[in-house]
Amino acid sequence: MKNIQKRKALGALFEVLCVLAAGVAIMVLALILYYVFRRGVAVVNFSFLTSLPTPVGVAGGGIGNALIGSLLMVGLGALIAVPVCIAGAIYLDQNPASKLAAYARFATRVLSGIPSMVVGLFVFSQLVLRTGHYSALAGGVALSIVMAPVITLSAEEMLRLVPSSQREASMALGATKQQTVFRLILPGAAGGLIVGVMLAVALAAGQTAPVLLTALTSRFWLTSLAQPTASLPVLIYHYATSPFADWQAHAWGAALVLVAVILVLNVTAQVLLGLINRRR
Amino acid sequence: MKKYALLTRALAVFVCLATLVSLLPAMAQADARPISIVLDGRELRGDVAPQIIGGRTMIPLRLIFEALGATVTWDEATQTVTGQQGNITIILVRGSRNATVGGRAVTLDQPAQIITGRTMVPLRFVAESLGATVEWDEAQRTVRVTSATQARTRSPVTSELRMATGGASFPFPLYTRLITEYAAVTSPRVLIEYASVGSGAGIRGLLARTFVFAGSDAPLTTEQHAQARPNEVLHIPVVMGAVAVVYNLPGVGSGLRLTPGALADIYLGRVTRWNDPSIRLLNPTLTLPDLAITLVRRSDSSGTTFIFTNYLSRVSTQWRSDVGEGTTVRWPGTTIGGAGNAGVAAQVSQIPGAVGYVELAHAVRANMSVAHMQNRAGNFVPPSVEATTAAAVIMEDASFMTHPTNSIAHNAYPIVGITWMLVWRDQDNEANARATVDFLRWAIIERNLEPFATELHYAPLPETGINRARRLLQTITFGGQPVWR
Repeated sequence: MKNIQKRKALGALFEVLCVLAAGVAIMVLALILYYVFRRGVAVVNFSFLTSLPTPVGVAGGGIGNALIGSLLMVGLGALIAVPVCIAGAIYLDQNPASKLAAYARFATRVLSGIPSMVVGLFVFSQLVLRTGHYSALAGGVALSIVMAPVITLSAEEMLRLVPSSQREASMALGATKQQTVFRLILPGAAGGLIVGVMLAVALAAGQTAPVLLTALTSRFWLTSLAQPTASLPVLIYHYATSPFADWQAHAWGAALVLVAVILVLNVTAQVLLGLINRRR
Repeated sequence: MKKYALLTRALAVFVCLATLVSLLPAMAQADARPISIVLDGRELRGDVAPQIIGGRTMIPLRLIFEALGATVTWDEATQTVTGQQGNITIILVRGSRNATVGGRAVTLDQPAQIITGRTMVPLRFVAESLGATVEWDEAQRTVRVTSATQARTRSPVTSELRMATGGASFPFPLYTRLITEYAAVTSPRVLIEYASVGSGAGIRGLLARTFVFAGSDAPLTTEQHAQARPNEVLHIPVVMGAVAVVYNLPGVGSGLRLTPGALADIYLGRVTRWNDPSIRLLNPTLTLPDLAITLVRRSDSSGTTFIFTNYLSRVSTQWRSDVGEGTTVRWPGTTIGGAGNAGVAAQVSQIPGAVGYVELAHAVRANMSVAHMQNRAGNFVPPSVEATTAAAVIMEDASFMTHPTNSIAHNAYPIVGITWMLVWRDQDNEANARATVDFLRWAIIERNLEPFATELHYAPLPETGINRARRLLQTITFGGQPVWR
């Protein structure tokens, strides 16, 4: 009896601790969001989102080219990383015990532990030094490498969540491996896959070092993928460390836009997923 | 021959007639079509349309004067129009063919006159007097006026050019301004991208040729010079900057006096309290609190640290032997690090009793207390743009390769540095070479950077520095030929 009471008390204590820990984590996020919103909201308006940055002391100016540059490079990164990584995850899921799968899994884990700065340096040495110029393309490639391990590892987990009973049922009904993968496993895991991709997109959108090393930055509109390209994190980095109040304000505004873009992308993905699921 | 002569004559008559016939409709229409006036690509419209009188385009006087940035006054009694722009004065009298431009008498084809209630003046005369150029486009029936400012357009390249550059973060705010202004005066445009990645990364980018040119607060090391050979990296001075000694002393504002020895002792950890006799002696009028001195330094590799330690090495033998100079050094005392100028400024602002060093712009913008440093002549000088330029006024040409700390000029602030543009002497791309030389010439030699520099607390180079920059720019070559024209 006593033992049970003790256990219950202990259980309650741990529950409280867990809730507290969760609360702290949420509070930190909420505080960051609140602070970014409070500092940034004053400068964000339509012209801020659509105009070129101005030098210190020149009124107005915005983050138009950096916003486009960021969306473009993250998009490019996703375009490269998503097909390759999902395909890789399917292989890992289908041949979990093969030697190649073991190597691939290991390599992916190692890649996920490599600082993004190193990824930037790698792409810098392979693309920028060889072609002789910084470009949005190089930035996209660097971001795709940053995204790759996140997408692959989460995708493998998500694919594994599709119950083996369903897979066996599919096989038993005479479906080929291909049919099983494309009509059962992928649709079944779609929600999880999208969450993984969104995580990777959010991670990539906030990267400074790999983008600075590969796409450099720009104060002008982008006219080709082979040019130095502005991005939000680099703009924030440059502005936040300057002594000028107007630039610092723009850095907060850009941070708010960055957070908002990621939020909007996430919510859109969730809503789309909900629609797809309801249809089925 | 004769046979042909007749044929030729017939042909000539035919051609003349044909031309005339084809021109007739245009000529008939001519007066019907309105004239438009385009100034620097923008159409000028007034309440009264421009008109051609006796072959001269007449335009409302206020419209043209004000569009060209001149002020106009009208004297009813003498019927006189006076337009003024800078040091140019134009005087026109209504109904008179006599006008004056800058004190010189000019006779006009058409006098200023009233048309539909507006005083109209001859466009070409007014525009050209104000330094603009005027072209008549018959096909479009358009007068194209290019103002004096627009006429300063530069075309170093034949098609739009983008150049990737980068380096020192210290001049970054100034360079973004220059880049924007320069893009506006070039046609086709020259778009320069400058990434604030630090002097070290700038030098590496230049050597790897990913940067066309690089900004740096530190000259190349001997090894880097060797790496550049057989080519050579020119150090073109751009502007100068002061490093302010900032502190947080409750009740004490700017103006704490420090000697080189006192500053060295503080950073060597030999003077540890603010009310130390050595500091009190220098500041008899201040009440210095009994507070421990907290030393703040840059935690990152920094040109500011280089200038600061370069100064301390020049004024203190012990500093030179124990610590030396560098973008990072082994600090002898207990120090607190701050990342970037902003980091140091934040640490100093938060800790009572803290002392640190930041670029002048950061000290001014963060409204921090700055020390007045004793210079070599014995004067206590606050950091300022003027006192920074003064440090290099008497410098010899070759000295522009190092920071002019501890200057002997009597009104100089002693902790100052130069920021350079590093440029290859022998260029490998013609367009880049032309744009680089033209940009630096426009910014430094033609002094277009000066208004922006002082506004942002950078010190323009003295005459000696500008001459040095010009000589260096003139040695830049492409394919063995000098690029400077």
